[in-house]
Amino acid sequence: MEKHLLNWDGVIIPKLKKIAGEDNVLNHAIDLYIYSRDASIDVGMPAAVAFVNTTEEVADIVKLANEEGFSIIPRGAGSNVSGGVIPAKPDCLILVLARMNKVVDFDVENFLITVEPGIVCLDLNTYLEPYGFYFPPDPASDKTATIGGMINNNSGGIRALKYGVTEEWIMGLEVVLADGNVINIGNKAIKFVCGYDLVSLFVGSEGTLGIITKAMLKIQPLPAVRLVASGYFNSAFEAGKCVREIIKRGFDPSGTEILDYKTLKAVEEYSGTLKFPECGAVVLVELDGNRDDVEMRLDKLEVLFKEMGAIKSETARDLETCTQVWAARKAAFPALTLRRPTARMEDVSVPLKNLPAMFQEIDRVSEKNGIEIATFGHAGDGNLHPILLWDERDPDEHRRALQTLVDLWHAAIELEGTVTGEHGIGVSKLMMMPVEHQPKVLELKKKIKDAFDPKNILCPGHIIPIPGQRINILEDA
Amino acid sequence: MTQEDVVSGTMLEPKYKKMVIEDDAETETYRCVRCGFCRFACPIFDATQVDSYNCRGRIMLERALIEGGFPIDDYAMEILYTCTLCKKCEEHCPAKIKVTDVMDSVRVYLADNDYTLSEHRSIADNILEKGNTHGQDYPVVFNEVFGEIKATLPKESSTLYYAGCVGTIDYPDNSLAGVKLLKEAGEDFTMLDAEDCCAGFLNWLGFKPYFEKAAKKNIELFKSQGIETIITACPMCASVFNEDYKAISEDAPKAYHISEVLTRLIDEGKIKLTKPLEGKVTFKDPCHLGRYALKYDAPRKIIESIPGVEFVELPETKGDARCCGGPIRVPYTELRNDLSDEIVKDAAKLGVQYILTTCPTCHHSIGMRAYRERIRVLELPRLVAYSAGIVDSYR
Ligand SMILES: Cc1cc2nc3c(=O)[nH]c(=O)nc-3n(C[C@H](O)[C@H](O)[C@H](O)COP(=O)(O)OP(=O)(O)OC[C@H]3O[C@@H](n4cnc5c(N)ncnc54)[C@H](O)[C@@H]3O)c2cc1C
Ligand code: SF4
Ligand code: SF4
Repeated sequence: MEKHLLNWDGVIIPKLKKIAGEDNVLNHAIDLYIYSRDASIDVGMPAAVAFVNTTEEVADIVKLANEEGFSIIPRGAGSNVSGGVIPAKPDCLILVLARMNKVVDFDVENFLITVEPGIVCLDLNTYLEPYGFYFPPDPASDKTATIGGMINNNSGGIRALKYGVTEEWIMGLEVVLADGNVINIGNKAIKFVCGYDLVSLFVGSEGTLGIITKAMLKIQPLPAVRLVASGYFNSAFEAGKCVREIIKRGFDPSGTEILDYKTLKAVEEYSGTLKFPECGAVVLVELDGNRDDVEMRLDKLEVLFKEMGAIKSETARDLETCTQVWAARKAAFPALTLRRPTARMEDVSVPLKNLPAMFQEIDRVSEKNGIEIATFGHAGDGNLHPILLWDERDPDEHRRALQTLVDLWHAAIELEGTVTGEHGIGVSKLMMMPVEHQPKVLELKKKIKDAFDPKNILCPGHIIPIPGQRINILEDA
Repeated sequence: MTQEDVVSGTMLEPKYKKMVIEDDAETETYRCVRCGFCRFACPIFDATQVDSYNCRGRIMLERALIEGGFPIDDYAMEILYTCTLCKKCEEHCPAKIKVTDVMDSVRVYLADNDYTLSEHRSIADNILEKGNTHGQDYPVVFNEVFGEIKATLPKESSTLYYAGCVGTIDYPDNSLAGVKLLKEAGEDFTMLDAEDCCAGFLNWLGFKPYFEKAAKKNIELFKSQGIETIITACPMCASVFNEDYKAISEDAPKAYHISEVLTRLIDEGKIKLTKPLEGKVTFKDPCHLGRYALKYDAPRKIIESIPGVEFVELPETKGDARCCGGPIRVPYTELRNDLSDEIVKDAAKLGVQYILTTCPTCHHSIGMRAYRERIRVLELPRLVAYSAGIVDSYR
């Protein structure tokens, strides 16, 4: 990336400070570096970082961007894994919305809550719990992910199988558009088909169409119980087949997770206390609802596990055992990070029928490139998280790891799937857009972007590349 | 710096002298996945809301310094020295990054290469020259506080009551209450003629060779007096003896925090708590008793034994307890105040009259702020001594 071209020190920074406050604009090289990265492996230097507290400040900064010609990248907690908050060109401002984190309105009669975008998912659920409610989208990053980030990445989690991803829970938005105008879209009414569904368009738009400053969310009563069953299989292939059968037979699980052999071994080492049977993979199934119904389904599930050739199965019928089972799932990524210095979480998603084949493809590309991969994921919706493990300080291994990524992405598309189920494109996976989409579709996407942001002020080079942008990750290696 | 400065994808172009730290610590900085889960934990991030002051930011900076991407300027020093080493991030980090081990190694590099703050050098000088962090005439203070009672203790014992300099100087009544309790309960223990600081601060600030020198001197002294066990009212001292002294010499005595001993004595009926403390109280887990030593139950058992007390937990408690900010009070007093203010705010919401703790540094930091909410901070030894009728007042 070339050096910044605009007059930041003399003009833009003083004006930003006037809007956001003297202490709320940073441009020390160290701050810029810290805000040049997220949880992806990409990096891009911004020209400044600004923290905002109100919709008006956001709108004023967007207007200033229009006048001065700089670009804006909205940022929540920066926990995305797709380079979603990484500048792809010089003269970008990182606009941090994390401090706008208040509950604006709690309309409990309508099961609705309106929040600012910086509220952290777990904090929102802590707020809702005493009222007997929760916000169902449950990314593993709920301790840090902000609602603004979740909306823009359309985040999902373990329970997406039953409750869907973030999209299904957004009823309305306040958005600062790329020209600085503020709009309110959506409706409190559950049924609402009054013209194009703009709310859905903003969900998953990765900050490229507008800046969300408020969100009206649907909430759900907490279930009476959530119990878990685990089935151990000889191979991930067999485990994948069982998951499909669980769904087909109407068990209505709230989540079905798969952990492969390597992940289980890593979890055993990490925990020091957990011990799993020798197997190729485990399927964890969560059932929720009232206790009698859930217990009945659990009994039947044990029978099904046997029928599908499970080596062993277990059910957890009390909170403590359930928590232990989920602790193993939650430890999956951490445990793997201990194995090598660099761990990269991938996000391929394929139709259920092709899930077993995806596992075989993961083994193939791992072997081909000599890069260790361990896999777990939300098997019930076909979304897998292969974890690539290497040492980025070794240039040869780094190159092979990037090649492995590209091979994985191609394999997912070959299997009628996608390169990303829930993490997004950002700048990390741009090179796969023309592989996954027809040229006409890309053209349409570009037109949508142009309609909302003709000057390309918001997240330029994200989702849609800008001229001259290096998008081939293998080129850099 | 521009992106041209980034080589091989993610590494920085070396432009400045590369920071060299222990291999294991260096690998930890690369293992950080930048997930930001530590945003949920780090009290300094909570106070500043700037990622550079978060654990993630610190690890990123450390990595950048290893790669030689930045000079070590005043701002870098501030980021690296505002970490309180509270370990709260380690409770939440999914990758189990040993954040405080990395920080220790980084600070050793900084101090070895003369990147030090003048305020920190003063503390170091105080410890090395005067045997206490505050720069006071410690033997005199020590004797004023303990002279009388020391005369009544056995000259020799394998168990030592080690008062610690911060407690002795700032809260002598509390330190003395600890001695009185052990004596009343009939414990066999002695005290030194004069104490030297445990020197933990030297270690935390990166002055490793000085720390080792001071630690060896203390270890030798303990050994020459036949000390096998230490009881102290300062959880920082206890942690320094058990972790850092032990790393230097197997001869270092095993240390117990006084709360562990008091629980036993209460259980054995050797201390009987009869006088009530009327009011609602909460307890602030000191980082060095909690996350460092994993002693969560002992202080709670003591509190439950005090008649009249209505005990409520803070919203963030035990492994999740907030840090008071004490370790960075010099020179970052305002930031320390911000951290303590959050604890006071939580306590005020609970409607308590007292915040109990059992660490002189917590006592000092929170006490300086709690009065504004009409909340008092009390340390357990003195309160226990009051309830047992050994001292007349707990405040
Ligand atoms: C260990 C780990 C586990 C994870 N687990 C999951 C998981 O289970 N499921 C899942 O879906 N994701 C997961 N993620 C990815 C990530 O945490 C989510 O995408 C999360 O929702 C991002 O939230 P954030 O606040 O960090 O957003 P950021 O990373 O700050 O931003 C994400 C995107 O949203 C945009 N944005 C943020 N706020 C706004 C706003 N107010 N207006 C407009 N645009 C905005 C940004 O420009 C960017 O494009 C995981 C990540 C990690 C590191
Ligand atoms: S929680 Fe751990 S891995 Fe995540 S950013 Fe913080 S230090 Fe790094
Ligand atoms: S040890 Fe405490 S202050 Fe230091 S980074 Fe971790 S949480 Fe923050």
